[in-house]
Amino acid sequence: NVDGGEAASSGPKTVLSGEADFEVKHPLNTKWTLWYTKPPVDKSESWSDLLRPVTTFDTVEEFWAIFQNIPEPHELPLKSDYHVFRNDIRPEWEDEANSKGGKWSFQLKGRGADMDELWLRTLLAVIGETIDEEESEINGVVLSVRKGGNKFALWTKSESKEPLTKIGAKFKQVLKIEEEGFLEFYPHSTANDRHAHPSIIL
Amino acid sequence: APKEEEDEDFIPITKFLEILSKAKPLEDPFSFKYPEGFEGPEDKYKKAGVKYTYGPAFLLQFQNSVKVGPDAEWMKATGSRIVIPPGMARG
Repeated sequence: NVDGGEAASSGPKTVLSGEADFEVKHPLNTKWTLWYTKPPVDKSESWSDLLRPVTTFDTVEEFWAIFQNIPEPHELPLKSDYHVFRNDIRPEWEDEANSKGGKWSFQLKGRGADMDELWLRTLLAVIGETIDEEESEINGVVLSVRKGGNKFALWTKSESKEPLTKIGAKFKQVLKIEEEGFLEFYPHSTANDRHAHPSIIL
Repeated sequence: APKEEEDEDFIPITKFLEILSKAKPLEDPFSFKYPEGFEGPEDKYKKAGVKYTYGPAFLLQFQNSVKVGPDAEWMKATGSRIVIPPGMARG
């Protein structure tokens, strides 16, 4: 458009003016990596065969491009996971960045069409850095597709109660949970204990 | 919602990422002037120690503006890493 019809936009153009012609982009505060866990099809496959990084992104524009071109949560097979983790943190509790932390965990009962929307709401809160307090506590977020109910988990770098309670309260809003008792925090130090109790419940 | 057959509206993701790699990072989205009909990021999410914070309403504005579709190159390098074993697809 060279006739000057879009006079209002005198500054540099963003993707909002058209996806094929823009000059500036919106950085995210850090880089993020999308990981995927493939469901096992035979017993010889180990966790490290199944868990793989898919791609990384560090701008708002790239986030949308990627997430509009991968399967939505409701299309994923049982026993698969999506993980979105900051920088190069591996989505494993053994990773140094996770080792002193834990996770806020929520199980969505039933298959629910809500899953796609809640996952998107969670991602936007995490990459937009609006779920964190001033100090960055969030290492990543996981969606696990399971028969008994899909699980959402927000992984944190510490297990200190005060900041985590604030983050948990925001996570509840993002997941649209109004009642008490649905969100549970588990320190990773209890990850091997099948009978572990949550250290915080909201 | 299913994508409609308006392929000219969608550019291949590989091409989009190339254009994106040449774009300059915005220094301060809070003071940037957005085109009419779009809102800038909300001030209430500003944080002293975190440079880039974006509220969900701001981020959602991009959902319909980034119209890109998969292409063979991207599928081979990236899309194919999300393996859905035969017979296990849902939805």
